[in-house]
Amino acid sequence: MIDTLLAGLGTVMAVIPLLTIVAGIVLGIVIGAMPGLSPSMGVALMVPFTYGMSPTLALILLVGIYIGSSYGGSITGIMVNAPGTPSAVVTAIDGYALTRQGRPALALGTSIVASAVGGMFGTIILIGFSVPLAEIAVRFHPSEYFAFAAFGLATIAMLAGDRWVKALVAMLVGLIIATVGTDPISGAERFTFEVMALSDGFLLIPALIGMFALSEVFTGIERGEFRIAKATGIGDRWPRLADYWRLKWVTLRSGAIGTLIGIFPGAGATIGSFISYGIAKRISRNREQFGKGSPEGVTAAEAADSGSVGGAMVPLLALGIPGSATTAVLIGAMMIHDLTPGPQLFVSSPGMIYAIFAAMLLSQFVLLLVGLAGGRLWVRVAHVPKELLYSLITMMALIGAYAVRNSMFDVFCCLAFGLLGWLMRRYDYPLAPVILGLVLGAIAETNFRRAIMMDGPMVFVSRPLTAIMLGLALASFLIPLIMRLREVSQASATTRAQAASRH
Amino acid sequence: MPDRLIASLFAMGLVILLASASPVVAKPHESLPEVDGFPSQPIRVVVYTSPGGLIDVTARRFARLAQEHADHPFAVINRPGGGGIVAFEEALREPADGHRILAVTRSNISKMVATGREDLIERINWHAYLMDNAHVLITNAIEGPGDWHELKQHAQEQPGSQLWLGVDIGGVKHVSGVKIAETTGIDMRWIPYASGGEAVAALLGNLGTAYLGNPRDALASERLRVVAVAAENRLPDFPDAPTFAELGYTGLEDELIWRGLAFRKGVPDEVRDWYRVLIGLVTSDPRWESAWTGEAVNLRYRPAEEFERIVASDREEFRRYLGDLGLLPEARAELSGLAALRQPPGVLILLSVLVLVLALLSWRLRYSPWREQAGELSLLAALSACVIGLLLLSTGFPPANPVDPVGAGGLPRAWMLLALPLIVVQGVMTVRHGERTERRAGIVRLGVVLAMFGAYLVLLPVIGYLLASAVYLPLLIWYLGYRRLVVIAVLTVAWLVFSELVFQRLLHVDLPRFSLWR
Repeated sequence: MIDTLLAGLGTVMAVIPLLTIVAGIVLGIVIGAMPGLSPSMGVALMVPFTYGMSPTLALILLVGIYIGSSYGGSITGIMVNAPGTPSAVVTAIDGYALTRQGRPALALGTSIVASAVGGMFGTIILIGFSVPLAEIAVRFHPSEYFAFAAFGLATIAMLAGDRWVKALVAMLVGLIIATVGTDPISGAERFTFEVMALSDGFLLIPALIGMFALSEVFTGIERGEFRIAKATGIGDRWPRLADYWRLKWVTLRSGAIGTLIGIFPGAGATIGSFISYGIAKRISRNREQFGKGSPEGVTAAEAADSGSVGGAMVPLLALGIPGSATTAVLIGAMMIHDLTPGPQLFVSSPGMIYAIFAAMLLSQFVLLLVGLAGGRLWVRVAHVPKELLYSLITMMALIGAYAVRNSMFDVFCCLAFGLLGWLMRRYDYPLAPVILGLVLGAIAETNFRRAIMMDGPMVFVSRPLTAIMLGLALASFLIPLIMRLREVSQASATTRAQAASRH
Repeated sequence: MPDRLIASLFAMGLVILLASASPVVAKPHESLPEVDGFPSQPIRVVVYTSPGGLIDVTARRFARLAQEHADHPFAVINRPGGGGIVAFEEALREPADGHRILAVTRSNISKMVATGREDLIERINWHAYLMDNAHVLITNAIEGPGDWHELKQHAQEQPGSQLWLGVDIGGVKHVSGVKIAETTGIDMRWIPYASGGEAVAALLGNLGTAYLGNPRDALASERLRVVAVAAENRLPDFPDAPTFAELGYTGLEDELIWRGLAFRKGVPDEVRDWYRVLIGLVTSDPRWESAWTGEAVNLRYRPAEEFERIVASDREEFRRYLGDLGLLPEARAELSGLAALRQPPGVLILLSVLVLVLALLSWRLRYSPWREQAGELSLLAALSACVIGLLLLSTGFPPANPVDPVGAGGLPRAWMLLALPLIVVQGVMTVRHGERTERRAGIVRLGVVLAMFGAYLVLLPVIGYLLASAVYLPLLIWYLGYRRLVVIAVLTVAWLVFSELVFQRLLHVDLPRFSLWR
């Protein structure tokens, strides 16, 4: 395998493949940073430009775009709290908090390195273990997928902080919104009010843009926040090698979590990011910093997000099955280039497969270089007067929501989510749980019902893996809440004791 | 001041130029019939699904070759939603000039019948049937039944235990699955997955007995085996797999999914002739045939008249089977005691009552001891009212049944029943410990910005994106307090050029246009 990989490396170490990698990464970052363009849309948009290329070069370009756009979504999340992808919502929690403190360079620098290392981890797993991991992944019952989703939802306890009732209400709002549309099991229309645009439910991108970008603008305008954030005495600086070294374990662990969850078809990067963030917060010695601008939080989310790219490629290459929306487009692109995705590619075109592996490894270095160089430009966004920035964000929000399917309905939905987000911010309700519920609601529901349809309700206790995962999910939900309640009761007991001693 | 004036004039000039730029009429290709003024802009091939998937690949392969033969740009755009209804409705809003062509499949017919939107079938011109795939039954031959006889024997030994994996309920494959099960006497349970890929993965994991779908899905692994083919003849790519007719079951010779091209009605005859010739050129191109080799696809072009007949016959068949399955809209409407509230007039009345009640509550709270928390309490009241409303509406969902014991309303109701007490708890906490809500002077400023944004959204479809934005963007910047005119002008122009070039031209986002030029 090493020989074949080295041969693949030899193939891509030429001018044209290297330029293709650079072009893919740059385009991907731009696409990911543009509200309204998801990684899958970005890859699909570029497919026609690959018609004249060899299949190997075409796939190198498209995979480069996939890698670049998965990272690009976090840039707007960090700089203007407008995450370009659902998984970047988690990066934005601490990334934007750092920007508000006047430390965007720290956030961007941390995220790019986490992204590259996480992506590298995912690629290595893909190269070394794709076939056995794919074999394990296909054996996962819908009950285990439900347990995954439950585990993701349980991270709410970690996101909540002091506002756990508010966070739970926000998550349930997301879960309820996720039920709008055609029921995936019975085919019945739910809460669509005969509006055909709602038959597939609320689209995630307009919801994301409204909830984060527009609500940020509305809040800023209401508060009259037109002055640029200044550094809070700590000073903004790019992370140093020692800073990255301190984050080594969280980076590797999160890359592993993202990769493993990415392998399961349909699970996706978002669950990986939320779970990784939740675990990082629980393990961290500085857990009180999470949500207020923690580089560890940025790292956990971003490494998992990028790790999931390699994970999602596992079922694609090992079985010809898409692991995510973007890999579904990659399968289409392979077919357009007369390739049959799946295990036979390892037999029929091993040179091409290993050239793609080598390109994915190299892409992480290119991502690092381009990201660090580009970061210097992105940081300047923080110096743009807010009057201009807010105005441009509303324009981008509008066009981004409209671009998804050329529909003014989506623009109005985006505005409605913007107003909801603004109200939630006004009364101190966290926004991320809404997106958590919105993303995981459908996965949780379909797999819950599918599991029962297949093997009855006892499946959740009769399958050991499901039972263990659900037990862990329950524990990770309850333990922080119990600890919090205990802290509150201890604090009030202390207050009472002090009051009594004063009397 | 003069430089500001010049910059502003330059900005306005560029905007007007962009807004009025007339499309260039392309020179038609020699082998195609000449049509006056057509094609005059890039041709959009609209796919009703997200990128990826066979119909997307079909559209892209077609567009690639059509572009070469017509010497004219073809762009594939994806308009997912409602199983094709969103794409069809969008096509019907566009002029009937032939610049928008729909990539269609048999699934569109089942979806339109299932949603009561059969009017769309009639408003579409089903122009060209390009190809079809027979439906096949695939098993995991290593861990499950190795052939049809084993599958049948398993069904007889353990009746009702077979899980057939597939995709959407009420879709083409589900209807085929029901037909096959009925004809062969197998008592199966249909387990719907979000995509064929996920269902195949589950079959590889031995989570179901069989998968009903496309023959090419069997190529994912050597462990997968096509055990029966719902076509008249065996498939060349799977010569060992018997047809149902060979196995002794008739009436299953034509279970397939077709793919083709369609327009909205009203496209001029000469444009349709142009497409007929073009489609002939593409389908006779050796590259078209070679691209589909090994995909178990049956390439058979059928002209519009024959295609229309096939669509009519499919429509009848879906009405019959979906009616039997209780999946027609009429059957669902009977289930709901609150049907009126699920329709737009009922919703408007409900929303109006809700707004009125909330306004009264909010006003009352301002004169109560909790006036400082009035805003948050009103938000919680609005949330709980919405949740109660949705809870009532959920009583109209199809009830739980032995196949789906949770039912369509199970989890939505669970979320709502969890949310309601939590909202109450939060309300109590807000009253007890609620912090004083900061009174912000900026609320008026935000109100004005929202009014401007609303006016902009209303104006967009009327005067077009470019003109509306050329007015809205500088006004907004100015209102927010920025006063450097040159910067405002340059930024406005830069944004408009960027959105026109990147979104309109490159990404084929059809931004609303000023309708004068149409």
